[in-house]
Amino acid sequence: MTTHTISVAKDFSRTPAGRYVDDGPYPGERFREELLLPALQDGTATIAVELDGTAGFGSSFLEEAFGGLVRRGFDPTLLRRRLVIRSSHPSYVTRVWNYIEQAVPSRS
Amino acid sequence: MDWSEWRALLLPWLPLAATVGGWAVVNWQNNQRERRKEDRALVDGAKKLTIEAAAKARAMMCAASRDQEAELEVKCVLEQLEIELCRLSDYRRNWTLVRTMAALADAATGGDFESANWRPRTAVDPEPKQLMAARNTLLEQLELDFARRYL
Repeated sequence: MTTHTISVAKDFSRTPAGRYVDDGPYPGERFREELLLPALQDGTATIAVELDGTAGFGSSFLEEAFGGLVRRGFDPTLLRRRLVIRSSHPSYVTRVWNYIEQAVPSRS
Repeated sequence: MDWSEWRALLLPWLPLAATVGGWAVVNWQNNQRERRKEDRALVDGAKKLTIEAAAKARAMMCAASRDQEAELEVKCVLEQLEIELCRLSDYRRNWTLVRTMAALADAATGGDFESANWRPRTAVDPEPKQLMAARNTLLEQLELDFARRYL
């Protein structure tokens, strides 16, 4: 199976911040809509998200980017199969999977 | 070979064996002492950064207006803290400590952090209290882990 790698620092911004597009130029919502969703919707490749190389992440960014996938209709079990989170900071990986597990799917 | 022959053969080597054995024990003890000192310094450094991260996050939460400089600083200190924690030999396998670190980061950067709708908190709001609780849990966990390894 092929792996498609997305580096937040190289492909998005070294200073990701905020949740929604109103919060700043590089929020979690924009990362999800512009990079994560298209990659997940395009085929069955494994998506590796590389978190190193940025100025750090707030929970608001990570929750919206990854927890937001569940609200956009992705099943956490499927995400477990297709998403790989890479970081030299183990707590980021733990946080991302917590947000995915705790997110409540949207009713619409 | 009878006993006297064995004794004649082994006796000359006994002082050397005792010296090598003694050296190995003392060397092991010295290594343990050094490792303990290094880990103590790492734990103390991590505790200092934990207190600093929580203080900065609390000041940011309770400021009169949103301060983007302070938000960036909070994220940077949290990054610095985890870099220090990663220097502890078993941090990556220690899920209790990783989860405690994640809880502090969540408490410091959750809710309306970096949000256009940010609102200031007071000391009686739940967010600063949760932050201080997460800070204390991490400080406690660092000490517990050190005690488990060395005491």
